[in-house]
Amino acid sequence: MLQRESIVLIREFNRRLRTALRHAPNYMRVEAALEVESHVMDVLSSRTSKLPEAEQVTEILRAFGSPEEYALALMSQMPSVERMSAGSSLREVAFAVSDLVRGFGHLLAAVGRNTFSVAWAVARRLWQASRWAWVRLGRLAAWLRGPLAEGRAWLRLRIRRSRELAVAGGRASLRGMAGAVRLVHAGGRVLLVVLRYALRVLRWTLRAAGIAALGALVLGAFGIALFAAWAPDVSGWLVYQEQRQIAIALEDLRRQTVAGYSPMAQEAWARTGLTVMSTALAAGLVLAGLLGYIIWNGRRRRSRVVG
Amino acid sequence: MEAWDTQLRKGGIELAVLLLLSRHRMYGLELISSLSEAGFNVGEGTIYPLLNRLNTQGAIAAEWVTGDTGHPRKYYRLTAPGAEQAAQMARQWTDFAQAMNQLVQTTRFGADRPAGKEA
Repeated sequence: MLQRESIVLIREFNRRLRTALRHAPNYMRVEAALEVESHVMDVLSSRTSKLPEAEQVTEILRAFGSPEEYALALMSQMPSVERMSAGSSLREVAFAVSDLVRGFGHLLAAVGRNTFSVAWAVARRLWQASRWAWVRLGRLAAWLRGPLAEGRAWLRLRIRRSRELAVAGGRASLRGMAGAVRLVHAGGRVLLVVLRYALRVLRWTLRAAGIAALGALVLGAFGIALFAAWAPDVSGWLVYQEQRQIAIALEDLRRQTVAGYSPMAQEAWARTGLTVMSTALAAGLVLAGLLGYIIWNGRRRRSRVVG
Repeated sequence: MEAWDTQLRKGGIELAVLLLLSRHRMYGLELISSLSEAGFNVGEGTIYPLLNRLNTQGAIAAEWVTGDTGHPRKYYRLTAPGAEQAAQMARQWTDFAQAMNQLVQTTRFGADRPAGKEA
Protein backbone atom coordinates (compact mmCIF):
# COMPACT_ATOMS: atom_id res chain seq x y z
CA MET A 1 0.00 0.00 0.00
CA LEU A 2 1.44 3.32 -1.09
CA GLN A 3 1.82 6.25 1.24
CA ARG A 4 -0.43 9.25 0.75
CA GLU A 5 2.38 11.46 -0.51
CA SER A 6 3.33 8.90 -3.18
CA ILE A 7 -0.29 8.62 -4.31
CA VAL A 8 -0.49 12.40 -4.62
CA LEU A 9 2.69 12.47 -6.75
CA ILE A 10 1.40 9.75 -9.09
CA ARG A 11 -2.03 11.36 -9.39
CA GLU A 12 -0.51 14.75 -10.21
CA PHE A 13 1.68 13.18 -12.90
CA ASN A 14 -1.27 11.35 -14.40
CA ARG A 15 -3.46 14.44 -14.25
CA ARG A 16 -0.90 16.40 -16.30
CA LEU A 17 -0.46 13.43 -18.61
CA ARG A 18 -4.20 13.15 -19.26
CA THR A 19 -4.38 16.91 -19.81
CA ALA A 20 -1.55 16.72 -22.34
CA LEU A 21 -3.39 13.83 -24.06
CA ARG A 22 -6.80 15.54 -23.90
CA HIS A 23 -7.24 15.56 -27.68
CA ALA A 24 -6.03 11.96 -28.04
CA PRO A 25 -8.42 8.96 -28.11
CA ASN A 26 -9.90 8.14 -24.74
CA TYR A 27 -8.38 4.66 -24.55
CA MET A 28 -4.90 6.20 -24.89
CA ARG A 29 -5.48 8.52 -21.95
CA VAL A 30 -6.77 5.74 -19.72
CA GLU A 31 -4.09 3.17 -20.63
CA ALA A 32 -1.23 5.68 -20.33
CA ALA A 33 -2.22 6.64 -16.78
CA LEU A 34 -2.67 2.99 -15.74
CA GLU A 35 0.70 2.03 -17.20
CA VAL A 36 2.48 4.75 -15.23
CA GLU A 37 0.83 3.69 -11.99
CA SER A 38 1.55 0.01 -12.60
CA HIS A 39 5.20 0.69 -13.48
CA VAL A 40 5.77 2.73 -10.33
CA MET A 41 4.29 -0.07 -8.19
CA ASP A 42 6.50 -2.65 -9.97
CA VAL A 43 9.69 -0.64 -9.44
CA LEU A 44 8.91 0.04 -5.78
CA SER A 45 8.21 -3.61 -5.08
CA SER A 46 11.33 -4.82 -6.92
CA ARG A 47 13.92 -2.61 -5.25
CA THR A 48 15.07 -2.13 -1.70
CA SER A 49 16.14 1.42 -1.06
CA LYS A 50 16.68 3.40 2.08
CA LEU A 51 15.28 6.51 0.49
CA PRO A 52 11.80 7.68 1.55
CA GLU A 53 9.06 6.26 -0.66
CA ALA A 54 8.01 9.66 -2.00
CA GLU A 55 11.57 10.36 -3.16
CA GLN A 56 11.72 7.00 -4.90
CA VAL A 57 8.40 7.69 -6.63
CA THR A 58 9.68 11.10 -7.77
CA GLU A 59 12.80 9.46 -9.20
CA ILE A 60 10.77 6.77 -11.00
CA LEU A 61 8.40 9.34 -12.49
CA ARG A 62 11.36 11.45 -13.60
CA ALA A 63 12.48 8.51 -15.75
CA PHE A 64 9.38 9.04 -17.89
CA GLY A 65 10.39 12.64 -18.50
CA SER A 66 7.87 15.38 -17.88
CA PRO A 67 4.22 14.36 -18.42
CA GLU A 68 4.09 16.59 -21.50
CA GLU A 69 7.25 15.07 -22.99
CA TYR A 70 5.94 11.56 -22.28
CA ALA A 71 2.63 12.43 -23.93
CA LEU A 72 4.51 13.73 -26.97
CA ALA A 73 6.55 10.52 -27.12
CA LEU A 74 3.39 8.42 -26.87
CA MET A 75 1.62 10.28 -29.64
CA SER A 76 4.69 10.49 -31.89
CA GLN A 77 4.74 6.69 -31.96
CA MET A 78 1.14 6.41 -33.16
CA PRO A 79 1.12 5.26 -36.79
CA SER A 80 -0.38 7.46 -39.48
CA VAL A 81 -3.15 6.27 -41.79
CA GLU A 82 -0.68 5.61 -44.61
CA ARG A 83 1.49 3.38 -42.46
CA MET A 84 -1.40 1.36 -41.02
CA SER A 85 -1.57 -2.23 -42.24
CA ALA A 86 -4.77 -3.71 -43.66
CA GLY A 87 -5.49 -5.86 -40.63
CA SER A 88 -4.75 -3.22 -38.01
CA SER A 89 -6.59 -3.36 -34.73
CA LEU A 90 -7.61 0.29 -35.06
CA ARG A 91 -9.57 -0.36 -38.23
CA GLU A 92 -11.18 -3.41 -36.65
CA VAL A 93 -12.21 -1.29 -33.72
CA ALA A 94 -13.64 1.28 -36.15
CA PHE A 95 -15.72 -1.39 -37.90
CA ALA A 96 -16.91 -2.76 -34.57
CA VAL A 97 -17.85 0.73 -33.41
CA SER A 98 -19.74 1.47 -36.63
CA ASP A 99 -21.67 -1.80 -36.24
CA LEU A 100 -22.44 -0.87 -32.67
CA VAL A 101 -23.60 2.60 -33.74
CA ARG A 102 -25.86 1.08 -36.42
CA GLY A 103 -27.32 -1.41 -33.93
CA PHE A 104 -27.83 1.30 -31.36
CA GLY A 105 -29.43 3.47 -34.03
CA HIS A 106 -31.97 0.71 -34.80
CA LEU A 107 -32.68 0.34 -31.08
CA LEU A 108 -33.12 4.09 -30.68
CA ALA A 109 -35.44 4.18 -33.67
CA ALA A 110 -37.57 1.37 -32.20
CA VAL A 111 -37.66 3.03 -28.79
CA GLY A 112 -38.38 6.37 -30.42
CA ARG A 113 -41.22 4.90 -32.48
CA ASN A 114 -42.75 3.23 -29.41
CA THR A 115 -42.29 6.31 -27.26
CA PHE A 116 -43.75 8.53 -29.95
CA SER A 117 -46.78 6.30 -30.49
CA VAL A 118 -47.45 6.13 -26.73
CA ALA A 119 -47.05 9.89 -26.37
CA TRP A 120 -49.32 10.44 -29.39
CA ALA A 121 -52.01 8.14 -27.95
CA VAL A 122 -51.86 9.89 -24.57
CA ALA A 123 -52.05 13.34 -26.18
CA ARG A 124 -55.03 12.28 -28.32
CA ARG A 125 -56.86 10.90 -25.23
CA LEU A 126 -56.16 14.10 -23.32
CA TRP A 127 -57.42 16.25 -26.21
CA GLN A 128 -60.62 14.18 -26.52
CA ALA A 129 -61.11 14.25 -22.75
CA SER A 130 -60.66 18.02 -22.70
CA ARG A 131 -63.30 18.43 -25.44
CA TRP A 132 -65.72 16.15 -23.53
CA ALA A 133 -65.04 18.11 -20.32
CA TRP A 134 -65.58 21.43 -22.17
CA VAL A 135 -68.96 20.25 -23.40
CA ARG A 136 -69.94 19.07 -19.90
CA LEU A 137 -68.87 22.38 -18.40
CA GLY A 138 -71.02 24.15 -20.96
CA ARG A 139 -74.00 22.09 -19.81
CA LEU A 140 -73.20 22.93 -16.19
CA ALA A 141 -73.09 26.62 -17.07
CA ALA A 142 -76.41 26.27 -18.89
CA TRP A 143 -77.92 24.52 -15.86
CA LEU A 144 -76.65 27.27 -13.58
CA ARG A 145 -78.11 29.92 -15.87
CA GLY A 146 -81.29 27.97 -16.60
CA PRO A 147 -83.03 25.61 -14.16
CA LEU A 148 -81.06 26.72 -11.09
CA ALA A 149 -81.68 30.41 -11.80
CA GLU A 150 -85.34 29.60 -12.40
CA GLY A 151 -85.46 27.72 -9.12
CA ARG A 152 -83.97 30.74 -7.28
CA ALA A 153 -86.47 33.04 -8.92
CA TRP A 154 -89.32 30.70 -7.88
CA LEU A 155 -88.04 30.62 -4.28
CA ARG A 156 -87.78 34.42 -4.14
CA LEU A 157 -91.38 34.64 -5.39
CA ARG A 158 -92.58 32.17 -2.77
CA ILE A 159 -90.76 34.05 0.00
CA ARG A 160 -92.36 37.35 -1.11
CA ARG A 161 -95.77 35.73 -1.34
CA SER A 162 -95.45 34.25 2.14
CA ARG A 163 -94.48 37.70 3.47
CA GLU A 164 -97.52 39.23 1.79
CA LEU A 165 -99.76 36.51 3.16
CA ALA A 166 -97.96 36.76 6.55
CA VAL A 167 -97.37 33.03 6.62
CA ALA A 168 -94.46 32.82 9.08
CA GLY A 169 -94.09 29.09 9.40
CA GLY A 170 -93.08 28.29 5.86
CA ARG A 171 -90.87 31.39 5.40
CA ALA A 172 -87.95 30.03 7.42
CA SER A 173 -87.83 26.82 5.46
CA LEU A 174 -88.12 28.75 2.23
CA ARG A 175 -85.27 31.03 3.29
CA GLY A 176 -83.20 27.95 4.19
CA MET A 177 -83.87 26.47 0.81
CA ALA A 178 -82.98 29.75 -0.90
CA GLY A 179 -79.72 29.89 1.03
CA ALA A 180 -78.82 26.37 -0.03
CA VAL A 181 -79.61 27.12 -3.65
CA ARG A 182 -77.51 30.31 -3.48
CA LEU A 183 -74.60 28.23 -2.13
CA VAL A 184 -74.91 25.69 -4.92
CA HIS A 185 -75.10 28.45 -7.49
CA ALA A 186 -72.00 30.20 -6.14
CA GLY A 187 -70.08 26.95 -5.81
CA GLY A 188 -71.08 25.93 -9.31
CA ARG A 189 -69.85 29.21 -10.77
CA VAL A 190 -66.52 28.95 -8.97
CA LEU A 191 -66.08 25.37 -10.15
CA LEU A 192 -66.98 26.41 -13.67
CA VAL A 193 -64.37 29.17 -13.75
CA VAL A 194 -61.59 26.98 -12.28
CA LEU A 195 -62.27 24.00 -14.57
CA ARG A 196 -62.57 26.14 -17.67
CA TYR A 197 -59.23 27.80 -16.88
CA ALA A 198 -57.57 24.41 -16.25
CA LEU A 199 -58.93 23.07 -19.55
CA ARG A 200 -57.65 26.12 -21.43
CA VAL A 201 -54.15 25.56 -19.95
CA LEU A 202 -54.29 21.85 -20.85
CA ARG A 203 -55.28 22.51 -24.46
CA TRP A 204 -52.59 25.19 -24.92
CA THR A 205 -49.99 22.84 -23.44
CA LEU A 206 -51.04 20.05 -25.85
CA ARG A 207 -50.84 22.43 -28.81
CA ALA A 208 -47.38 23.67 -27.71
CA ALA A 209 -46.11 20.10 -27.20
CA GLY A 210 -47.35 19.14 -30.66
CA ILE A 211 -45.57 22.09 -32.27
CA ALA A 212 -42.34 21.34 -30.32
CA ALA A 213 -42.44 17.66 -31.35
CA LEU A 214 -42.96 18.62 -34.99
CA GLY A 215 -40.07 21.07 -34.80
CA ALA A 216 -37.80 18.44 -33.22
CA LEU A 217 -38.71 15.94 -35.95
CA VAL A 218 -37.92 18.46 -38.69
CA LEU A 219 -34.60 19.46 -37.10
CA GLY A 220 -33.69 15.83 -36.41
CA ALA A 221 -34.43 14.81 -39.99
CA PHE A 222 -32.38 17.75 -41.25
CA GLY A 223 -29.46 16.79 -38.99
CA ILE A 224 -29.53 13.15 -40.07
CA ALA A 225 -29.65 14.17 -43.73
CA LEU A 226 -26.64 16.45 -43.25
CA PHE A 227 -24.69 13.69 -41.48
CA ALA A 228 -25.60 11.13 -44.14
CA ALA A 229 -24.45 13.51 -46.87
CA TRP A 230 -21.12 14.36 -45.29
CA ALA A 231 -20.21 11.02 -43.65
CA PRO A 232 -21.44 8.17 -45.85
CA ASP A 233 -18.89 5.60 -44.69
CA VAL A 234 -19.13 5.46 -40.89
CA SER A 235 -16.26 3.04 -40.29
CA GLY A 236 -13.87 4.86 -42.63
CA TRP A 237 -14.96 8.16 -41.19
CA LEU A 238 -14.26 6.94 -37.64
CA VAL A 239 -10.75 5.82 -38.59
CA TYR A 240 -10.09 9.08 -40.43
CA GLN A 241 -11.40 11.13 -37.50
CA GLU A 242 -9.21 9.30 -35.02
CA GLN A 243 -6.07 9.72 -37.11
CA ARG A 244 -6.90 13.36 -37.77
CA GLN A 245 -7.47 13.81 -34.04
CA ILE A 246 -4.08 12.28 -33.24
CA ALA A 247 -2.26 14.36 -35.86
CA ILE A 248 -3.89 17.60 -34.71
CA ALA A 249 -3.26 16.82 -31.04
CA LEU A 250 0.37 16.01 -31.78
CA GLU A 251 0.88 19.28 -33.61
CA ASP A 252 -0.84 21.17 -30.81
CA LEU A 253 1.31 19.49 -28.18
CA ARG A 254 4.46 20.37 -30.12
CA ARG A 255 3.37 24.01 -30.34
CA GLN A 256 2.50 24.01 -26.66
CA THR A 257 5.92 22.63 -25.77
CA VAL A 258 7.68 25.25 -27.90
CA ALA A 259 5.48 28.32 -27.56
CA GLY A 260 3.91 27.65 -24.16
CA TYR A 261 0.26 27.99 -25.22
CA SER A 262 -2.26 25.72 -26.85
CA PRO A 263 -3.86 26.97 -30.10
CA MET A 264 -6.39 24.14 -29.84
CA ALA A 265 -7.58 25.34 -26.44
CA GLN A 266 -8.23 28.80 -27.90
CA GLU A 267 -9.98 27.27 -30.89
CA ALA A 268 -12.10 25.13 -28.55
CA TRP A 269 -13.27 28.26 -26.72
CA ALA A 270 -14.25 29.94 -29.99
CA ARG A 271 -16.07 26.80 -31.13
CA THR A 272 -17.92 26.59 -27.82
CA GLY A 273 -18.97 30.21 -28.11
CA LEU A 274 -20.29 29.68 -31.65
CA THR A 275 -22.20 26.55 -30.56
CA VAL A 276 -23.81 28.37 -27.63
CA MET A 277 -24.78 31.32 -29.84
CA SER A 278 -26.29 29.19 -32.60
CA THR A 279 -28.19 27.05 -30.05
CA ALA A 280 -29.55 30.18 -28.36
CA LEU A 281 -30.59 31.57 -31.76
CA ALA A 282 -32.38 28.34 -32.72
CA ALA A 283 -34.12 28.16 -29.32
CA GLY A 284 -35.13 31.82 -29.65
CA LEU A 285 -36.65 31.21 -33.10
CA VAL A 286 -38.64 28.21 -31.83
CA LEU A 287 -39.92 30.15 -28.80
CA ALA A 288 -40.83 33.14 -30.95
CA GLY A 289 -42.80 30.87 -33.28
CA LEU A 290 -44.58 29.29 -30.32
CA LEU A 291 -45.45 32.63 -28.80
CA GLY A 292 -46.69 33.93 -32.13
CA TYR A 293 -48.96 30.91 -32.53
CA ILE A 294 -50.40 31.29 -29.02
CA ILE A 295 -51.09 35.02 -29.56
CA TRP A 296 -52.63 34.40 -33.01
CA ASN A 297 -54.79 31.59 -31.62
CA GLY A 298 -55.95 33.79 -28.73
CA ARG A 299 -56.95 36.59 -31.12
CA ARG A 300 -58.77 34.14 -33.36
CA ARG A 301 -60.78 32.83 -30.41
CA ARG A 302 -61.61 36.34 -29.20
CA SER A 303 -62.77 37.43 -32.64
CA ARG A 304 -64.95 34.28 -32.83
CA VAL A 305 -66.58 35.13 -29.44
CA VAL A 306 -67.18 38.78 -30.41
CA GLY A 307 -68.58 37.72 -33.79
CA MET B 1 30.05 9.74 -31.52
CA GLU B 2 27.56 9.54 -28.69
CA ALA B 3 24.79 10.66 -31.01
CA TRP B 4 25.69 7.97 -33.52
CA ASP B 5 25.74 5.32 -30.80
CA THR B 6 22.36 6.51 -29.56
CA GLN B 7 20.91 6.38 -33.07
CA LEU B 8 22.38 2.93 -33.64
CA ARG B 9 20.84 1.54 -30.47
CA LYS B 10 17.57 3.32 -31.19
CA GLY B 11 17.38 1.53 -34.50
CA GLY B 12 17.91 -1.82 -32.81
CA ILE B 13 15.53 -1.37 -29.89
CA GLU B 14 12.43 -2.47 -31.77
CA LEU B 15 14.08 -5.72 -32.90
CA ALA B 16 15.49 -6.28 -29.39
CA VAL B 17 12.02 -5.93 -27.86
CA LEU B 18 10.47 -8.35 -30.35
CA LEU B 19 13.26 -10.89 -29.80
CA LEU B 20 12.91 -10.72 -26.02
CA LEU B 21 9.13 -11.12 -26.22
CA SER B 22 9.59 -14.13 -28.48
CA ARG B 23 10.98 -15.98 -25.42
CA HIS B 24 8.00 -15.39 -23.13
CA ARG B 25 5.55 -12.69 -22.21
CA MET B 26 6.90 -9.82 -20.14
CA TYR B 27 5.69 -6.72 -18.38
CA GLY B 28 7.23 -3.27 -18.75
CA LEU B 29 9.79 -3.32 -15.96
CA GLU B 30 10.83 -6.87 -16.79
CA LEU B 31 11.46 -5.82 -20.38
CA ILE B 32 13.50 -2.79 -19.33
CA SER B 33 15.64 -5.00 -17.05
CA SER B 34 16.15 -7.60 -19.79
CA LEU B 35 17.12 -4.91 -22.29
CA SER B 36 19.56 -3.44 -19.77
CA GLU B 37 21.19 -6.86 -19.29
CA ALA B 38 21.50 -7.14 -23.07
CA GLY B 39 23.29 -3.80 -23.20
CA PHE B 40 20.37 -1.56 -24.18
CA ASN B 41 19.80 1.14 -21.59
CA VAL B 42 16.30 2.27 -22.38
CA GLY B 43 14.16 4.58 -20.32
CA GLU B 44 10.47 4.33 -19.53
CA GLY B 45 9.82 7.33 -21.77
CA THR B 46 11.09 5.30 -24.75
CA ILE B 47 9.95 1.76 -24.04
CA TYR B 48 6.27 2.35 -23.26
CA PRO B 49 5.56 4.49 -26.35
CA LEU B 50 7.34 1.83 -28.45
CA LEU B 51 5.27 -0.94 -26.88
CA ASN B 52 2.06 1.04 -27.53
CA ARG B 53 2.99 1.47 -31.18
CA LEU B 54 3.83 -2.22 -31.61
CA ASN B 55 0.52 -3.07 -29.90
CA THR B 56 -1.41 -0.76 -32.25
CA GLN B 57 0.37 -2.27 -35.26
CA GLY B 58 -0.53 -5.78 -34.09
CA ALA B 59 3.05 -7.03 -33.66
CA ILE B 60 2.45 -7.61 -29.96
CA ALA B 61 -0.64 -8.06 -27.82
CA ALA B 62 -1.16 -6.65 -24.35
CA GLU B 63 -3.35 -7.75 -21.49
CA TRP B 64 -3.83 -6.54 -17.96
CA VAL B 65 -3.30 -9.24 -15.35
CA THR B 66 -3.97 -8.91 -11.64
CA GLY B 67 -1.76 -11.52 -9.98
CA ASP B 68 -0.04 -11.98 -6.65
CA THR B 69 1.34 -8.46 -6.67
CA GLY B 70 -2.09 -7.02 -5.90
CA HIS B 71 -1.95 -4.32 -8.55
CA PRO B 72 -2.79 -4.89 -12.23
CA ARG B 73 0.18 -5.41 -14.48
CA LYS B 74 0.27 -5.10 -18.28
CA TYR B 75 1.87 -8.10 -19.94
CA TYR B 76 3.04 -8.06 -23.54
CA ARG B 77 3.39 -11.07 -25.79
CA LEU B 78 4.46 -11.59 -29.37
CA THR B 79 1.71 -12.26 -31.91
CA ALA B 80 1.97 -14.33 -35.08
CA PRO B 81 2.35 -11.25 -37.33
CA GLY B 82 4.89 -9.96 -34.81
CA ALA B 83 6.85 -13.19 -35.04
CA GLU B 84 6.95 -12.86 -38.84
CA GLN B 85 8.06 -9.27 -38.53
CA ALA B 86 10.76 -10.25 -35.99
CA ALA B 87 12.03 -13.02 -38.27
CA GLN B 88 12.25 -10.63 -41.22
CA MET B 89 13.95 -7.94 -39.14
CA ALA B 90 16.40 -10.51 -37.72
CA ARG B 91 17.32 -11.63 -41.27
CA GLN B 92 17.82 -8.02 -42.34
CA TRP B 93 19.93 -7.32 -39.25
CA THR B 94 22.07 -10.40 -39.85
CA ASP B 95 22.67 -9.36 -43.46
CA PHE B 96 23.45 -5.81 -42.38
CA ALA B 97 25.81 -6.97 -39.60
CA GLN B 98 27.64 -9.36 -41.98
CA ALA B 99 28.05 -6.63 -44.55
CA MET B 100 29.31 -4.17 -41.96
CA ASN B 101 31.67 -6.73 -40.39
CA GLN B 102 33.11 -7.50 -43.79
CA LEU B 103 33.63 -3.82 -44.45
CA VAL B 104 35.33 -3.31 -41.10
CA GLN B 105 37.57 -6.34 -41.66
CA THR B 106 38.84 -5.00 -44.97
CA THR B 107 40.00 -1.74 -43.41
CA ARG B 108 42.72 -0.89 -40.94
CA PHE B 109 40.08 -0.43 -38.24
CA GLY B 110 39.33 -4.15 -38.40
CA ALA B 111 42.98 -5.10 -38.06
CA ASP B 112 43.46 -2.71 -35.10
CA ARG B 113 40.52 -4.13 -33.12
CA PRO B 114 41.59 -5.43 -29.70
CA ALA B 115 41.55 -9.20 -29.43
CA GLY B 116 38.45 -10.85 -27.96
CA LYS B 117 36.03 -8.06 -28.89
CA GLU B 118 33.28 -9.16 -31.33
CA ALA B 119 31.70 -6.80 -33.81
